[in-house]
Amino acid sequence: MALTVAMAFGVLLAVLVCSVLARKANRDVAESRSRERRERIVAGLADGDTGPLEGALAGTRHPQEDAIAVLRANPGAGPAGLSPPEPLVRQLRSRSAPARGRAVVLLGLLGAEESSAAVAALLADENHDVRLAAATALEQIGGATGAAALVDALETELLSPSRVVERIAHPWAVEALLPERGRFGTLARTSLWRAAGLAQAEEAVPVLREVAREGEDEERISAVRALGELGSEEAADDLLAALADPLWQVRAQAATALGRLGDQAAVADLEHAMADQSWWVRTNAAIALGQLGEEGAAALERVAGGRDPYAAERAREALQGVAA
Amino acid sequence: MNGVLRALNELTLAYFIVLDAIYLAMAAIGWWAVESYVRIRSARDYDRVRTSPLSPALTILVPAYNEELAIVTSVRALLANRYPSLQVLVINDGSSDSTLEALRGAFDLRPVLRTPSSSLPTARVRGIYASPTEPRLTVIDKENGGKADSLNAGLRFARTPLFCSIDADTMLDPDALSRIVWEFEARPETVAAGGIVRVVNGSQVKEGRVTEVRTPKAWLPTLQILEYLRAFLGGRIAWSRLGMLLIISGAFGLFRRDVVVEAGGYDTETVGEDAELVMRLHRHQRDHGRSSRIIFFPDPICWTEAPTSLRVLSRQRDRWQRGLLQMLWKHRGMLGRRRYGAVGMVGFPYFAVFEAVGPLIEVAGYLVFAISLATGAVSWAFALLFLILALGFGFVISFMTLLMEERAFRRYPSWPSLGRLLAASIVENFGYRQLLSLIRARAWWTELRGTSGWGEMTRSGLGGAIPAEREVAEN
Repeated sequence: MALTVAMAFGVLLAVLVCSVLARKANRDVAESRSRERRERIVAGLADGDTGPLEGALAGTRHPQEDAIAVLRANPGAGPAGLSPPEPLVRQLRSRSAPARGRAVVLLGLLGAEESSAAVAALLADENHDVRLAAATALEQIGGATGAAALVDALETELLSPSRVVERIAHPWAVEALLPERGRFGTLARTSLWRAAGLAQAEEAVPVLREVAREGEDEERISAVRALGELGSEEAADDLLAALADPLWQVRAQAATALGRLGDQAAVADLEHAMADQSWWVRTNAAIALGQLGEEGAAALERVAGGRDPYAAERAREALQGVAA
Repeated sequence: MNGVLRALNELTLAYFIVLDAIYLAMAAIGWWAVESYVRIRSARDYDRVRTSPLSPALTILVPAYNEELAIVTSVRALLANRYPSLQVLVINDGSSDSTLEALRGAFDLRPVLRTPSSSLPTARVRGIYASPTEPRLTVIDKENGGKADSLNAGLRFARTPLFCSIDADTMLDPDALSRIVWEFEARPETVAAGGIVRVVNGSQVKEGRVTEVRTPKAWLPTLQILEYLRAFLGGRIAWSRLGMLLIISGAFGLFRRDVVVEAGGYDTETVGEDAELVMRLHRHQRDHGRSSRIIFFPDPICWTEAPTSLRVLSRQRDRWQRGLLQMLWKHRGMLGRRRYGAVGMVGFPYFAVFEAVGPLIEVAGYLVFAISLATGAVSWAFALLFLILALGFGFVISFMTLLMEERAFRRYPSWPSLGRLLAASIVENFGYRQLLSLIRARAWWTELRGTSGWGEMTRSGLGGAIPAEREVAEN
């Protein structure tokens, strides 16, 4: 009995050792096969031959993963106008989350516009990785439908606002979404203003100026920040006005924005903001003055020698380049 | 007499049967979890996290006590991490060497005033410094108060939504931060996440980065490589999947700052502040009726140096075990309470029985077994069964772990490295595991006697060998 148990255990151990070694050997082979496949796809794309890529798209997990790796590593190398194979589009409805994930990533990388609607449906997928991959795919595909779907997804709370803003921070998306702002809720509008700033979407400036003065609280913060990022000189007056906003977050953003703008006309107002009751506003005003050349530096010197100890410290730090 | 011995042996045997069954179940769940991650991995675009201006800002807290040799290299390596919105906050915990001067010289530090963002109590802060050449770096100089106190001082002045706790000599993989942040971005209910800690001994390190992974020649660190792999891939990942992760290593964890501050920061009374914090987060969130996600994620990697001498190893394990005992004692009110969900009903009891009391049972079991064999109280068949259960299942779980490693991560690419790990999974059963049980059993004695503190630490600087006391890897 004892011998049998010992032998059985010995056999089990031998099997396990062998399986680890076999796995290692197997993976080595699989890796080299995968490397060759990637090289074939790259070479094919360089010669205008989409055969190897299409083969990988229609393949199982590993070929598809290789196609993803190649297309991600060479953005823009994908063939223009390649219509995605039907099985790949069907794969969006697979029961397996990884399969849906791969399909949605590939359709995004291929810029498959005709699949926009099907991809958008996955913004509400049960798997969070698939949801985010769908959001990225819509961004890569581009177009008004995708941008609107991304903003609408904010309502479901399945994607966090920052993840949506990242993906609509492109001039084309802002341009497509601006006319629709009337139907958006506050969160969607706030996200759009933030995206406009990141995307450097100049056409949003008139709307942003209006929002900076009259928008709701969250919107004003976002719009003032965006105006700063856009560096729009015509908005200087709105930014100066925002320095007197009742909300400290707006005032802090306005101070930063005026620093970026580099307009020395703001020195007096920023010097005044150094006495703001909010620590953030004082800090941002000091950093902004540090960006406004000699006049800004002179203002900092005045504040550093002034009576307000909090403002003086901020000013001294800004002069030394260690304010934060 | 023989009857008593036999009964004791049977009890020990029963203990090992249950323990092995749990380990096997955990390894199986871990296998499934790693497999599902590997399958979905290609859908994740970590580059997005690494480049987006909207990736959440995070502060790496680096408590430093007498780290003059390593600190500048460590900070430079941390600042070189590929992450868009990164702050590094070094807390000099009253070092008696020239840690602060080393930083001052390297980064041209200037004294600044900073308003605390929270009111956690800490030892007196003597000064705060910023650098005109490296705006992402802040240094807090404070009186000595221990690691937890230093982390709290860091939390007082950090302002970012996320913070990362790290040991001064931990090395992060360049993409570790973006990978772990993904978990917070994709699932906003995440409040804490730990990455895998791997043993760096034997690998090549240049400027605070691991450039080539190999197993070391010495056996003691090799055994620890396997032990860490088993603890993380075979244990922690499964506990995480079941929503019962009780430990995030102090060597590398990412947390939501607001939640940690609200829960009271790190506990300065324990030697296991990392595990205690996780337990308290579970408790705090449940007490406030919130669901929270506390996870272990195997892909973001950090590297740490494992002890190379038995003396340092035994001190490290003694500290881990005492930390565990203190944590369980402090939160004993959670035991078996339905309001704490799976953590209170399953995770806590498991840790109390198998991780806290377990080593005592194991050591007693080995002793009784030896006496029984000598006196002929047990048959050879029983002895064989006992050995297989007490030792043999360790093999099975170790092999499963190595299979997982090969399947998912393949960090030890060479055949000799894999061979050594395979050999280690056999060697460790003859002496090493028993030694660890003995050290952990002895920790009961040191804890009850009231000895405390971290013990002396000697360091020789990154790039060379860093003797270390690090990490928590129960199982």
